[in-house]
Amino acid sequence: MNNKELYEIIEGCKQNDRQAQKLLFEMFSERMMGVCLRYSNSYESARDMAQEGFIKVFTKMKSFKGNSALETWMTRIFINTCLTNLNKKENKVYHLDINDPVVAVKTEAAIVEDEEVEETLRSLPVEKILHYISLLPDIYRQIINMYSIDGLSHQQIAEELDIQVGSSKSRLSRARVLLIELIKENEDLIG
Amino acid sequence: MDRERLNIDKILQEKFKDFKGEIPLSDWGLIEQKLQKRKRRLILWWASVLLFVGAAVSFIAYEKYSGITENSVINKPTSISGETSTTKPSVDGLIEHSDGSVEKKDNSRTQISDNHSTKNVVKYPERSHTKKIPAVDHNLPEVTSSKQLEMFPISLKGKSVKNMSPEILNEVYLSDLLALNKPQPKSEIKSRKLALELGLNIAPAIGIENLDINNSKLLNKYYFSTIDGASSAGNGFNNGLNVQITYTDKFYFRSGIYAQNYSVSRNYDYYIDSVPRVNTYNEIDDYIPIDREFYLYKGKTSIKYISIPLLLGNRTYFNSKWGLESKLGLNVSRLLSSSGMFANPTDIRLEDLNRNRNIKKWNLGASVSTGIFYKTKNNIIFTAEPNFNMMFGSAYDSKYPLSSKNYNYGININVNYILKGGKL
Repeated sequence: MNNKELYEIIEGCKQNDRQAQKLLFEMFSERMMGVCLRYSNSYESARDMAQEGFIKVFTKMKSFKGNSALETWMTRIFINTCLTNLNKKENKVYHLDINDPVVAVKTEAAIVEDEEVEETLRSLPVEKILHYISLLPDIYRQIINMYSIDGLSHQQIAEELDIQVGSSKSRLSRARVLLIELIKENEDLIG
Repeated sequence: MDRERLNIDKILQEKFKDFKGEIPLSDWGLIEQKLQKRKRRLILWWASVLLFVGAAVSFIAYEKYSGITENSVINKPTSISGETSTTKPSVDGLIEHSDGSVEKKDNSRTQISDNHSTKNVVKYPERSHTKKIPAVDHNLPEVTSSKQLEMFPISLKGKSVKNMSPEILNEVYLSDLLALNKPQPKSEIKSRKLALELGLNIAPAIGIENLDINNSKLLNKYYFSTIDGASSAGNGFNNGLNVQITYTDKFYFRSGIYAQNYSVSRNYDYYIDSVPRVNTYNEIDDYIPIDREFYLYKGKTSIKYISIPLLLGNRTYFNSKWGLESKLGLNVSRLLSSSGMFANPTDIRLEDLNRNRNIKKWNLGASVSTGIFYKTKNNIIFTAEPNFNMMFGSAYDSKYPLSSKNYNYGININVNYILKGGKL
């Protein structure tokens, strides 16, 4: 699709044209669903988030001035939608299975400098990594997505989540540890 | 990219660079339905706003330009033959022009115009005879029809009988004069029992929050005690516009649109160094140590509503100006926004109250007040009354471990203007 066609779709969406909205949905649904899958812990909740995200995109389309790429702008809306949905949860606590081995708490340095883990991570299919990320508690899944994958800074994350920059850093550190521990446990690596 | 990004971050970013998820294309149908629903809601909202504004503007315009209220007809000059003119009939049967000239009224033209005047003019019994108005120092017209007699009470109203020439007074039947004081027809009295008032309500108040903990839903009991004692004090207000229908100057029903606010000043100062781990039975297994996080907050949390009051009231007059006013009723409130920082009762981290999705969208409350009112000659009624507002339920929904009931005690200051009707 060339720029002219995309421009026409955007203009159509600004006029609330259903056909244009449908075309936009078809163009970006898979990529935006990918964002929602990363932030949620189940396929069904990701679907709900994706639907809600598209409704937000359509209703906010008039404010899209073209300063950034459409996909970047949409991704930001979808991230915000996911964060809002995660905040809706009744209790923001850790839901780990009772039968899971207790995650050992180690210093971050001991883990992140592990080349074996890095190698394993590189070799793992993305679906499997997604599975491990989905097992993380909400607040750690959020932070690893926002910082490591979506490339937001700690300052941006702190503003987005209404936390202090220090809290963002400590959460990220904890999230990395938990993720790597999960991978090690399940991929038969020596911890 | 900052320096803190590690290899693991880079690997993850690379892995998820082109990550896509499958979404059923049928989901477009669901999105379309939701968009349609949203559009309908938006249309309904704007339609009701337009209806309200339209009704208010029409009513004001009607009041201003129709000129058919009883008093205005009686006191304003009545045009002949329904024409709009500055010519007006005078009591002595002469027609006065705006340029000051006086003309004798032509009988053939003496037609009191149609419906709008007959509707408002008090009817008198037809007379079987007519009398000629005797000539004074200028030519006076003859009264030849009962229609002309109907002119008398209209013209007499508001004029001093003393200033009229004896010749005219002689010709005005005593019964005509007495008729001015006769009670009006029943149907008209009935319509004057009702009055329409528009007003402004300002009610600053001191707020009190009753914060209860639902222990069965609170997981983190031990940790919550660290913030439970945070100091707080509150205030609020209930301001808005109202429309009121008053019956016989005593009883009224009032409604309108109010902005309602419940605020609490909070003071948190604490830290956490571990967070609870919960099992599948939603019980805390243990606490996971984390790097110590400090929380310090001194600020105000407030929940704002837009509300529709449904109030019944009573006015008891001590005299023509002063009286006692009491009212009570319900407030149907819709959440507008919330702000400030609030300690989440489970993980004890401060969160923006506006992001708390457990705040109920709708709430029902009650208000009661009683005080003094003063009515001016210009139909303005000032009221000052101690006021009590409360919410029946918690500001949070039943899933939330905390229940927050808000109360306001304050002074209700109200200014109402009687637009139409009543004992004016």
